[in-house]
Amino acid sequence: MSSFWPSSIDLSKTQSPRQVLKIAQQDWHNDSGGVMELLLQDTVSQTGDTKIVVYAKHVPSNRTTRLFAVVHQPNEPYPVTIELETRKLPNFLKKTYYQPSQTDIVAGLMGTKDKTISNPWVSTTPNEFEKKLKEAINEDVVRSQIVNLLADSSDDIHEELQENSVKEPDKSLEPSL
Amino acid sequence: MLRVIFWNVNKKDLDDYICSIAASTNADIVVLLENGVSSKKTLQSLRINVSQDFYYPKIISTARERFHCFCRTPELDLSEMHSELRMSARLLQIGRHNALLVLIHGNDIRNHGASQRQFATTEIADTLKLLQIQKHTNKLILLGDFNLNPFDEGMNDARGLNAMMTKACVKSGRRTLNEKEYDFYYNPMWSLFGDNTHGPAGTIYNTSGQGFYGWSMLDQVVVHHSVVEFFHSVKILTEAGTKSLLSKSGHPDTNSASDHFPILVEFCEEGQ
Repeated sequence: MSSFWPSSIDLSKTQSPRQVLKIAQQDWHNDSGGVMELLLQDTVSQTGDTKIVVYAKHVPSNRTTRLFAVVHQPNEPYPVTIELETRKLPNFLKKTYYQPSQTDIVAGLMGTKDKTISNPWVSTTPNEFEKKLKEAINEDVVRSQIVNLLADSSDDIHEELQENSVKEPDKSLEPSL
Repeated sequence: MLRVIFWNVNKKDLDDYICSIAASTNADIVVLLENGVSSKKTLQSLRINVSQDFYYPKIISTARERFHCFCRTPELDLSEMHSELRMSARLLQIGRHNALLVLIHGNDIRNHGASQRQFATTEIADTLKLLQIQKHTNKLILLGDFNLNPFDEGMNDARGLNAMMTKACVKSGRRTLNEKEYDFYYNPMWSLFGDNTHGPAGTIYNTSGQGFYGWSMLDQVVVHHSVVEFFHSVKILTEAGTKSLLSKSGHPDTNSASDHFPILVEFCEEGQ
């Protein structure tokens, strides 16, 4: 390949985001032994762009959860972006989080701080999209949703209350004075 | 009769009021939004003050625990079948029928413009279509604080919730727009508007720039046309047992209770 060929364009990889998601779908099916599935729903974004909503499904219980969405312009598969749900996790549950300094806060309030907003989820090639998709699936927010589908977390509340209601101190075991 | 309470409690600890409402209405299901205390604490209060039978149905993720949902009849199930940031779908047994109780919290008015809130209903509609296919039922009951009025475009647009004013409107089941079919939903909240109805004219009162009409009906129950035969009634509650939820001017008493009134929805277990 000549050096004039655009970097990062691999002629052996020309899949659309939807085709990449279909590969991910097959991987999930194979790797989980059919227990977990990815569901893809084709829709349109508020700006009229093509949007594919990605859900996870726990097959034995038929429970589902929304993971993220993939958006690109109609008939133009790239650039493509991944929209993660902006769930408000408390800081203590985040592996890393941004702590603004006093200077940042003041500058923000004064409106004097200019900045370049970068969208880390935009991909311009199938290779890049594959990489970002893997990253998205491994994001804490997404991964915990997947794990939660597999586990029954709410039983804990019920069981804890049940335990509390039956665990009255047994007076007969108290030493007599 | 199946009785469901829905209340946005405005991030307060209103367990005393909740217990009084649950006891006086003999509620089978209590759904709270923006509960100011943990679900565990409210469950404990309901068990001590109302009935030991109350339980907290299985949910997918406590991190997405936007709705606190309590049930006292295990046969109703109420386990979570689908979860999203602002939506939770619960399995609901109505008599012999599998239905889904879909709890919804629409984007808030303060941070989202009208067009964003309208568009959000098309996303909800997309999810409802997915649920119908994946959960093998079209018996969907939507309940929550939609942050929209029944007359707002997103509530009645075909691509939104397609929710009509009367039972007769939804009798045909669906309508066609640009060669696509859209299932009708029935919105009984229309019947509760204004001065000529029993009870308050809406569920929330606001005359600021965010509440142009004074009263708004943001808290709603909306049912798929296939569930209309099971729907019995909806009522805006202004009392919690012997305690009033009204201020002196007849609006929600935001000082002692919430800025929203609770609603009581009743379903028949067999179609009418």
